[in-house]
Amino acid sequence: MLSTVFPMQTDGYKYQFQYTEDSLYAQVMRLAEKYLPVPSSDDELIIDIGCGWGAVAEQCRQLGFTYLGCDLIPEGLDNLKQRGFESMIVDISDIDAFISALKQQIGSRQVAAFLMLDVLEHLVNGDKLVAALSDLAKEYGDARIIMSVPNIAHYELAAKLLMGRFDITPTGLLDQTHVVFYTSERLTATMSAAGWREIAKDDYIMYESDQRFPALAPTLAPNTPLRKFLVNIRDTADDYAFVNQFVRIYAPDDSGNTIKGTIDNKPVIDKKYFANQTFASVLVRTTGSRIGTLHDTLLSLAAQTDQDFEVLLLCHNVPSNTFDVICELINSFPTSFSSRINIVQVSGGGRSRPLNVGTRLAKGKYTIILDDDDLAFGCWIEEFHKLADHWPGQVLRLGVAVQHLEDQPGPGEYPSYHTISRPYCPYPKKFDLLSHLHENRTPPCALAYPTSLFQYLGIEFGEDLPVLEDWDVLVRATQLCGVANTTKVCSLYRQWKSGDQSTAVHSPVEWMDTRKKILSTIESLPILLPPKYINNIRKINDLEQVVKSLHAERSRLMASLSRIQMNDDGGTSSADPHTAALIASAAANLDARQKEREQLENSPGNTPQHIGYESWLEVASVFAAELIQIKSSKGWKLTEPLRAAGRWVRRLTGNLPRE
Amino acid sequence: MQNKPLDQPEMSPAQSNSPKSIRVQIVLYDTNLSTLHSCIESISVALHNAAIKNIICNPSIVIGDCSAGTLFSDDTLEQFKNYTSSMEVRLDDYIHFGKNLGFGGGHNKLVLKAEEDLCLILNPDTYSSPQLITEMVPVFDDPTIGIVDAKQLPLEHPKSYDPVTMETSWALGACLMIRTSIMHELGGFDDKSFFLYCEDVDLSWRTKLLGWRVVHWPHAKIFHDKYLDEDGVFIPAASEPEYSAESSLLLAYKYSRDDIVDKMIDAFLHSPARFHQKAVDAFHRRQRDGTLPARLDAEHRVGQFIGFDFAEHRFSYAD
Repeated sequence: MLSTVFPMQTDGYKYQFQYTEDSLYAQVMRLAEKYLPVPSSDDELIIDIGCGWGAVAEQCRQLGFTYLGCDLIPEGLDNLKQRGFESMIVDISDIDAFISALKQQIGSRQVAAFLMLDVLEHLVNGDKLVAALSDLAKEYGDARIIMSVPNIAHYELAAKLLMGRFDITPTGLLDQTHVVFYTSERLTATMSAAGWREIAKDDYIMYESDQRFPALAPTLAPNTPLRKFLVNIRDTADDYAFVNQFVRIYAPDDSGNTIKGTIDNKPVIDKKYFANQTFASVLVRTTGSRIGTLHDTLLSLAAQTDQDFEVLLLCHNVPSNTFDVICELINSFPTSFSSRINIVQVSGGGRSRPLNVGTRLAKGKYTIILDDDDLAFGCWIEEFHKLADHWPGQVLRLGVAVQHLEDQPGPGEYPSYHTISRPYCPYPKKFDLLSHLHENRTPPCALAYPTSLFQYLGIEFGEDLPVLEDWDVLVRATQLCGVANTTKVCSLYRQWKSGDQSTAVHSPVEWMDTRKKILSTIESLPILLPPKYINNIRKINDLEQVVKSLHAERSRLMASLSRIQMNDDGGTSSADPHTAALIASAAANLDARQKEREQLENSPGNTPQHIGYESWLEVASVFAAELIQIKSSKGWKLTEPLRAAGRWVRRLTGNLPRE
Repeated sequence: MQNKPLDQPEMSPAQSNSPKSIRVQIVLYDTNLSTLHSCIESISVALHNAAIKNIICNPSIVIGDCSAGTLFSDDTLEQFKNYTSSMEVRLDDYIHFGKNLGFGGGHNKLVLKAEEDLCLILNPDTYSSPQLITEMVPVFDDPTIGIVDAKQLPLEHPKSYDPVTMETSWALGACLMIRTSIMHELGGFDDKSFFLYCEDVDLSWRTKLLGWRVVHWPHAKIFHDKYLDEDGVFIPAASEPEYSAESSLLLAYKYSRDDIVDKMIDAFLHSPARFHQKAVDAFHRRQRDGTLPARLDAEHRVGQFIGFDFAEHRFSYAD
């Protein structure tokens, strides 16, 4: 039992708790009221197993049920009797004896529900007990069971473990008598295996648990960056970061089917599953609008030199007749390939919906996205695999080329297309986190994400984002995993000259708004940078300062230019025309580059552009070169103030011509 | 496009009235077994898919091997045969030539016994679309068409084609379907002149000289892997620059384009690449020995020389 549930430790007994309207017990009774059928007679039972002092006895009676409390502790049972409730002393560790005695006690009465409130975790054989109760429930009118079980994965327990602490306490989340620990997954798996089907839940939340000590530890104290970062990870992973107790109601499962699906849906995990996982799950998103390019994408997958992957073909809002065509297409491939394609129909939602469905179903160690108009070279999976072998767990990034294509009307069953440009590689060869914080500079087909990011850390593609959904995930994933990079070009990211590309379908305003939204989310959280990264930030900062100085110099240059022109007008110029032209050119160049930067900052889409360190470096480099030219002119004296700035730039860039 | 025939019927592949018999020819040279397995598996399935639609009948595969030693054991051959027969495709022959006959020479040996209506010349490093045969064969319902080629992925060949007639200057030899009768009439590829590269261009143009049309059918597709460098520039196969330089010169000569021959020789002599000099030397040696090919197309009806290409291109991988 949990001390955090408003303890009343009278008579020195630690498990004597009382019902209040904001307690766990109130949530239990709300589930009972909502999901238990109205009793048909006043002797219909609610049996509270491990009842302690029977904190909910009165509330059960108020709902019209007969309350029966069962426990091994006589003090609580005596208290119940004094309050006019039925009780029986039992040892639930002996399940057969307990069930037999319980049947006798029940007699011919109906059973509406069993309660097991903070009991399961005290029992080594709790799984067998709930299985026996499931059988009993079917005998006595399809009874329900309401469970309350402490959450071993509460954030504050994780925070304590990070400090090497697992602090057992007399009561609470780490009660000294707890012998089995439950996460939501494990509870679900245990109940499912025991023959129970969850009907509803109303988990009991505690943002500050009984484990928050020492309260000022940086993993626990509110508002520390460390806690914010960790809470974000824990909170994204599942819905139970701050659940203190799982409060759930179940009915007997008549289907005979226990939950199937991921490995987690078993009470005890078989680690062999992870050893035998296929290397990758390739998510192919299609709306069925271009069967021809979908065919080509699949063909490029069938021809991979490394076939250690499955394909999840995510048919998003595909009409039924088109779906049939897609199925026929899949079945036409050799079975060695088609047997590894899982066709999934996805309805509703935006571009992210099919990706989230896919990442949940993925069985591969890595998840890779290849849209239905992109193409993989034969080495695509093989190169990802090689990177993964060297840098396990990192986000894997390959070289990618862009190629343009257009529709080509002509004879044939399906519309055709052809490419109209040579491939080119506009994206940075090496991944840089900071430049990716400005905008997306890596297409999805160049990336492989560890599937655990989605299935264990709960990262999802934002379904509220109409575009740029992959950018948001990329920024979050690369921070956590790091990036293993190779420049080998292994896929073609193909862009339509016209048609239904997302850049054409979504308005510039939509792109801008989404970008702002993602940037706002990034801004709201602490960021994790890879080792040795501070030097990059320092260099950017220094370069920004240089460029600002150059801006200031621009004003002076312009003033100098004005003076030269005035002198020319008066026929008394002391500067040669070449110097004047250079000054004007340098000033105009800086103006142009500044405008270019502003345009890029505000441009929509994820087209590759140069912002960040490289752009600052470019601006500074061009200026340094121009300054050197000016210096070599006769009018050097006019540009004297620039000398210091020029030296500054060269020192920073390190690779420019010497004076 | 240049040199379009005056009569340009629109391309309209009608349903085949009767299934056509077909053989697939594959010539190996030190081919990786896994690559060959993919090739045989995918083309077998493509043949099977066409056969069950009654588009083809009696499909067969023949393999010739130009490698120094045999590439695989009898057991492996048996495995291949077991697979093809499960697709109701015969793997008729595996012939080890004992020497490297070159692309054209290998196929010429294989085609000698061919009696099928159609012959598919297929590279061993390809993976066929399951619809490859289903798409290509009906194109021959048009009695004026002699050769059809397929779209190559991931890098499409940039040669242009007429969007209505689908006519194209020449057909790619990596996946080229031809009426077997034409192969016999022409004596196959000109393997005396072309060891590697340009033999497909020459075959296409000689077919045109017989009055047939050569078309590109983009719905028929094969995956024929290529490579790009880290800037996206196409990386040719190691043998390509050398052999294609020599073959290009011979092609220009054969199709009576002395102006192109002169330009090429001039460019090659100014090139820093040694293989360009070697190509010029080889050409001059043939000149001396009298082994240059017989000249064709004096009126320049079929030969297209656009720069150093043999068709107009939508774009260039070399830019």
